[in-house]
Amino acid sequence: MSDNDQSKGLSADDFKIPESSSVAGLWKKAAGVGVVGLLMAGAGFASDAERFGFSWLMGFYAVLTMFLGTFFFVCIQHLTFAGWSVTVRRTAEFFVGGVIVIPFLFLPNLMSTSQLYPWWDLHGDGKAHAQDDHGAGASDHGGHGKDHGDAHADEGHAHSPMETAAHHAITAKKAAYLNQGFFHLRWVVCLLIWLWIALRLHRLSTAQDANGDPQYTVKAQRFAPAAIILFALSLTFFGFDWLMSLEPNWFSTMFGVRIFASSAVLGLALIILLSLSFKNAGVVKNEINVEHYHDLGKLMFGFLVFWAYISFSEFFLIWYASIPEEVVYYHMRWDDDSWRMVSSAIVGVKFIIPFFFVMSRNIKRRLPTLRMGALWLVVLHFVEMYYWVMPHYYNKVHHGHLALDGMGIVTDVGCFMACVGIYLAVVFKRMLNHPVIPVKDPRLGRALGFVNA
Amino acid sequence: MSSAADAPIAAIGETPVLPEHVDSSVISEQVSVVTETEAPLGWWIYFGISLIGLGILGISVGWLFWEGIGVWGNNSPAGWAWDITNFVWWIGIGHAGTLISAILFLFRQKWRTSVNRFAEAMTIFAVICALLFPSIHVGRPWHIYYTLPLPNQMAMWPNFKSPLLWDVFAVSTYFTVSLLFWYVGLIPDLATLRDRAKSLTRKRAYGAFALGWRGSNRHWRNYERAYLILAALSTPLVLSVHSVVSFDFATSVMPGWHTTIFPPYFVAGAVFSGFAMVMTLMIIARQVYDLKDLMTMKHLENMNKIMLVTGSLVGYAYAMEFFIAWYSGNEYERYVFINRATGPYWWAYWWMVSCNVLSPQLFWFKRCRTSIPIMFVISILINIGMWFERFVIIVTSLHRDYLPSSWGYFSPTIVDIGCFVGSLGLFFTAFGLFIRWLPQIAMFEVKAIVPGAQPSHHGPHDDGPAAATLQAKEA
Repeated sequence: MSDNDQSKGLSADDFKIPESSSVAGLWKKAAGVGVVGLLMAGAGFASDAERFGFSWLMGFYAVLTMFLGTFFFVCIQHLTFAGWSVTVRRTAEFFVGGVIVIPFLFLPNLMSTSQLYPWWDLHGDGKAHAQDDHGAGASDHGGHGKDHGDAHADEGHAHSPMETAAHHAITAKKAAYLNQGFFHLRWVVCLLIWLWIALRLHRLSTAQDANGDPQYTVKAQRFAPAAIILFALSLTFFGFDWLMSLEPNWFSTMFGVRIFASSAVLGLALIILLSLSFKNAGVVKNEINVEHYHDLGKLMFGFLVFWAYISFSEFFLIWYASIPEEVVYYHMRWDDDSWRMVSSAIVGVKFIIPFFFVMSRNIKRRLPTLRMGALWLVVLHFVEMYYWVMPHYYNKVHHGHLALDGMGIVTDVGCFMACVGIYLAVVFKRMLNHPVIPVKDPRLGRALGFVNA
Repeated sequence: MSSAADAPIAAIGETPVLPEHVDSSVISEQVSVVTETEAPLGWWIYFGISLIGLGILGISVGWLFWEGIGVWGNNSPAGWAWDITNFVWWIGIGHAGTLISAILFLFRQKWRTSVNRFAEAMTIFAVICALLFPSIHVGRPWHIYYTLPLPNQMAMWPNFKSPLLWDVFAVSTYFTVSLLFWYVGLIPDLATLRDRAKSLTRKRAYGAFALGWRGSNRHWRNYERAYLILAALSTPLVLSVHSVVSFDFATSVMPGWHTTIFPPYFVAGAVFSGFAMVMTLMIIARQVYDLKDLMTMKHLENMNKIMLVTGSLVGYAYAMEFFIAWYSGNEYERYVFINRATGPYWWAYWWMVSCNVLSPQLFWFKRCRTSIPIMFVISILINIGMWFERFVIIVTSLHRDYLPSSWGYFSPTIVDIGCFVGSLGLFFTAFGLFIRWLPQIAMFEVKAIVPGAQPSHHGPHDDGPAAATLQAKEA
């Protein structure tokens, strides 16, 4: 490279987080949050194990989407041979490196499967129990949909016998997929895939810090296509298993794409927030500058619109066709006033407000406002996680009404704090081992000299 | 871009977009000369065949107007068939233009510069072909203006709840914006042609369309701004147009049509088929006019990669549709999909899967990605496959109605075939004229990416191998 290339002479030690830095102690704070969360979650478990199951799944998905979103960012940079993003790629890789704790955070979910999934005990051993449900032909399955909410209001959470039978008849047809053995196999495979693809890309990047061998870049580029395919399939089927089958009658081909879109927005927001805190702590100076933030902001905005497009299309098509098995998902989130508020908030507060806020170039280039936008989207993402999981719990109890009692709040907040706190503690601890930018990446010069044209 | 770090790094497999000997004058010469000299024999043969196709279109559509829709093979369960298949196929082909011009522009993909003009022109012609089909399908095309919400004494309005009406708005908006985008992008190049013109007629004609472009600083500043705004406007259009087309199907309660993944799946398919069509035409033009320096193997390879990505996205959507049809437990859904693969139209389904999902998988191998014959064949296969995709969606879902007594089978008539072949004739005629009279490569945009165009460039020796040696020394 030529003489004006600024990437030469950077060393790993210059960009390691010093002990004295304010971000060096972040992991302790996160761990503290995690421990308090664990205690609260434990109390929640003792008081209501069923609710704990849903709350923990919500907390776990908050973490999983953090991982998936940032992993997508890393992978796509390798796929596209991107130069501009080299300095911020490491920030994403820190989140990706947190994958090692995800299996542990996942385990408590296994305690709750029979409470989470109505199909669990129906055909756990893989044999369809269709025989038990005879009399409930498929033609009945239109019966319960339209006034689903009303039925709950009238009869409490008990399903009418016809309704239950019809439900089971449909669920029974899925027994070849929704059975305990296959379900366990799938989550094991998904977790192994994530550990493999994430740790490999993480290692290829961090190993390059030592000697700058371009072969690491070549290997990462070669690995990225396979990784992104595995990523797409595992994300989709894990989502079908752990989220979609919360209501086993419901289905949507778009569901995997929606999980992806949501994760991608979150991932970009997290990268912005963490790299901004590196900047504020003085760990990086001009290596990550307004040009990079501007581009991250543009991508975050773009994916926010993509997420809205996906979510809207899914909702709109289901609403327009109004097929009973499908609309049940949205009835659960709309019929009761409390959930209608949450649904509206997702539309108004997660999309419309940040859409107009983050659209402006000035907002994206002014770091405090960009941070506000990113933080806003992170918080609202967690609200969306609540919206994804918890209606299925309230549909079983409280007549579908979002009733928050003290212990309920403790359980929800506790599970969330535990999952996110522990994950972040691992991320922040592991990031102390590596420089915060990939100092020997062959494309580093391009990122350092990057200007938004 | 500011730094020499932008030079390709050979050690990690980067190559320059354009060969070294290409500079501004080479670009102007190679591109402009096509419009300035007599057309080669190849062009006349191509144009003659296209004109025959256009003639077939005239005859078929004329006969259709005279006799009515009954001359098509459409029947009672299959009320939509080749007409709508062709419509969706053409609209899809039109997507590559906007994707390359707008989205790749926003992503600052410099290699797009050799391809975008081509793709944009193709977009315009493809959308014209697409608009033809719903218009002639209405049966009384002289009433086509009823689709527009025009105030009238009968107080008749189109049905605003119908996705078919949204289509009218979506496609006409798309056509308008694409045309504007294409024309705005042409202005600086039209001025180049004007300045090179020897005859007065040429000077006047290009001069009029160049809108008095002088290449002043102010002109460029306004131009850049307009282009950016149009790119930003077009980007949502890339997604919205085909999403609305997919709503034509997906809002219904028809098994095989109603599925939530349709909008992004249609968009991915559209980009996929659009790139395939650009590829087919580009390979021919590159060969005929010897534009290998401007449309390099790197361009072709990048486009093949995009086809691999979009082909895989389409494959993901096929898989999701099939899986969820089973998972839904709905016997109609399950039947439609099993019927697609094993029923009377099984051949169409397997054409679709082999062309769209399997054939692009060859692009995993660099040897296939960089072989002109292979990519040419695959690009044509993809176009065939994408046509079959729409045919499969439309006809296989319709021909089995809920009641077995209403089941039917669609076979095309000679007029169906005539209309389709004729639309190809229209497309290729328009394209031939474009190649003949307008610069087929955005000259000024390619000039901006030749080495030396950047102010801070340090000369031709800062290239890949040098950087690699430097790094090797360091290590």
